[in-house]
Amino acid sequence: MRPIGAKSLAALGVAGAAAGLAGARGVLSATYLTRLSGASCFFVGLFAAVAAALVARGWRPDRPSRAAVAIRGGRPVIEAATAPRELPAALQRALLSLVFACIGLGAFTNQASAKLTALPETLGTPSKSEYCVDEEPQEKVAAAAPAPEPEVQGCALIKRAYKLGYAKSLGACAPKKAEAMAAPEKKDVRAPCELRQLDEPFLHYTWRLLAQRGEQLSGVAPVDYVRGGVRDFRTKLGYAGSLVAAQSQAVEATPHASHHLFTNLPAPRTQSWIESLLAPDDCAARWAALPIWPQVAGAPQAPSRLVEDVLGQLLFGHDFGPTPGNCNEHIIHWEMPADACEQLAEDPAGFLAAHGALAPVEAVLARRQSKLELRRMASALDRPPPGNPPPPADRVVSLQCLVVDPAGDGHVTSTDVVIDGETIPVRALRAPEPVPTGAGPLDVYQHLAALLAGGGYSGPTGETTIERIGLEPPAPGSLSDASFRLTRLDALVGADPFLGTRWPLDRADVVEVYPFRAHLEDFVAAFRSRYYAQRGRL
Amino acid sequence: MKRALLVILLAAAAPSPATAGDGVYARDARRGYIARTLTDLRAMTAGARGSLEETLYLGARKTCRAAQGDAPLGCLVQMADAVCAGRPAPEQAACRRVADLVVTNHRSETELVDEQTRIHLMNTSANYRVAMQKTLRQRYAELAAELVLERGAAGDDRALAADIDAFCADRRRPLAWQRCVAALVWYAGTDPGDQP
Repeated sequence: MRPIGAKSLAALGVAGAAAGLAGARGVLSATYLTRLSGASCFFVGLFAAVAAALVARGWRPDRPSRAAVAIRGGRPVIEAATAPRELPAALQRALLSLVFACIGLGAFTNQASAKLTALPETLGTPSKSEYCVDEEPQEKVAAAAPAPEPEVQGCALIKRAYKLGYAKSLGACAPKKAEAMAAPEKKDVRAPCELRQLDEPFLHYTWRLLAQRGEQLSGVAPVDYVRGGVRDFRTKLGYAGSLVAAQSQAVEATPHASHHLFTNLPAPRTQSWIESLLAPDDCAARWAALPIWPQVAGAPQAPSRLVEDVLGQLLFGHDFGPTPGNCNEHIIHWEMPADACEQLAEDPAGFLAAHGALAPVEAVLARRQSKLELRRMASALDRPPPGNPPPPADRVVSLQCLVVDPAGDGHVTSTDVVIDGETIPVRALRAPEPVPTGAGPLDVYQHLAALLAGGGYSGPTGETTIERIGLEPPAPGSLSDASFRLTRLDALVGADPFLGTRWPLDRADVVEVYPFRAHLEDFVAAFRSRYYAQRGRL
Repeated sequence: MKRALLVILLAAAAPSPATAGDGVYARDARRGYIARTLTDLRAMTAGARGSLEETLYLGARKTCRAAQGDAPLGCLVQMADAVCAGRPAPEQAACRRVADLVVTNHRSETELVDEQTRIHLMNTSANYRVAMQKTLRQRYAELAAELVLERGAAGDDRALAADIDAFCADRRRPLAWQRCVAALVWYAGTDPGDQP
């Protein structure tokens, strides 16, 4: 057998690897390709053509390779060859073009192409850090928009009665922010901009800066000035550790919170190292695309998937509005021992270290400590403290255990542990294995809500849901009659599965049309109002 | 041989566990019901439809005290059933299906038209019911436009029924399936010129 030229083999190998990587990243899928903008297509084509032409100049596809791979004694051997078998030069060029086209497809996304297209305009725009540039008035309006006030249970009826004129006052349901909102609007008085003006010559700006500095120094006693500087320097030196830590935490992107859920359920999915390299798990994307009702029945590790999906929906589901949390700060530890919380209570640092949770928890606590130290330093320097005070440690770090136990009663127990001098409560809940079919997911919603936020669910609080309160829940037999199907089904609008009407979820035909979205929305809203009142981020 | 036959007969007669393919709300049953209702609605003259609407409206107010708030569902069904039972036998089934639409649409009024708009209509229009029906027609049209944008134009009534069912069963939509179906079938099955 004639040896095969090294260049041909390399072209095939590199093209195969590039196409494989591009395929794994999804950039070769029909959906991605059809959505590419014209600018992206142009940049990909230009990049592939220019790069392939440059490489082909040195590659010389029309000349045979100096080295070749031959099979000798059943093994591949690299040897010098005079006339090895080669791919046609045009095909080699095409393979090189394919390699760069794959790279280009990954690099020149629609967003990247749009930025490249807008680059000339951006370069011509003066930087706000160097020049005095008028700000857009819309920014002020957006910043001034007040956050909606959380709904209070029982107030919806009173608010509605007030709106319709049946009640004279809102009483305890009056908006808490009323005073703040009624306060006279503060005028945005800003100091005059002292940066370089857009039409100011460079020499004039330099002279202005020198004159300004001279004026500052003219009224100051040199000894006092130096003494003050030394005092400030000494104060800062005392907080040098915190200053350095704050810088490194910002650079290293230390998490702003760390919440951990330990469970003895198996992991819902396993990723090989190559899969995690090519397509790392993206919790934000995974949880953003969740179905309204978990559909994991029949899937491998369905109970674990169910727990993961319900947690994602409760905390981050986009269908129920934006959430302030970051999914990367919520970690589920699978395949934990059934007595995880007992072990955690006995040796918190040891248990967390053994399962990879100590480092993020300590990093968050250290970041919080740095913020506190910087506030103390500002106070010592007689300067205003930077930003808002950090939340308490138990709001940015939390530890929970969800233990599958056939004898579990679904009640939450709590113990305190001390980590780095901070007291952190550990909540635990024991419950039978989650059932992914029928009304089974309801239990998972209720267990996770109780575990993460405490308290129970007693019905909707929003004004829009008021019409559903008090409707008589339908009986299971009421949906068996074939006549007036639509009207009979309307009874389910007021049948909240979280308040006891579970039977429609167990009926395979009804579950497809059961209007539980509204009930789920109410449940998630009630959970989030409780949960995010207890949690925060640094 | 006889024993084998007996086993087969018993197996055939034994009740099977409920699956998504059984029951009055199974997908095929739902789509069939939507298609039949659409046909019935189109076959009914504008006058007959208006008369049925009026009878059901007055019946709900008189029999089920609908004027004082949400009428009990059981009462509405009984009242509508009694109205249709008074029709000639061949028309009764069609009457029940159209009445089902009328009652469901009436119940969804407060969801499709918010309270502020209802108060505005009450204060500004000479005839509240006429103004409300116009507003509802606009809401149905918006829903129908969404259906066409999402699923394209349907070829025939069976395809339209399947599209309506799939569109309304989508969980991302806040409107309940039955209310969405009733609105779309009413919009597709009635002529805008017949509306007040």
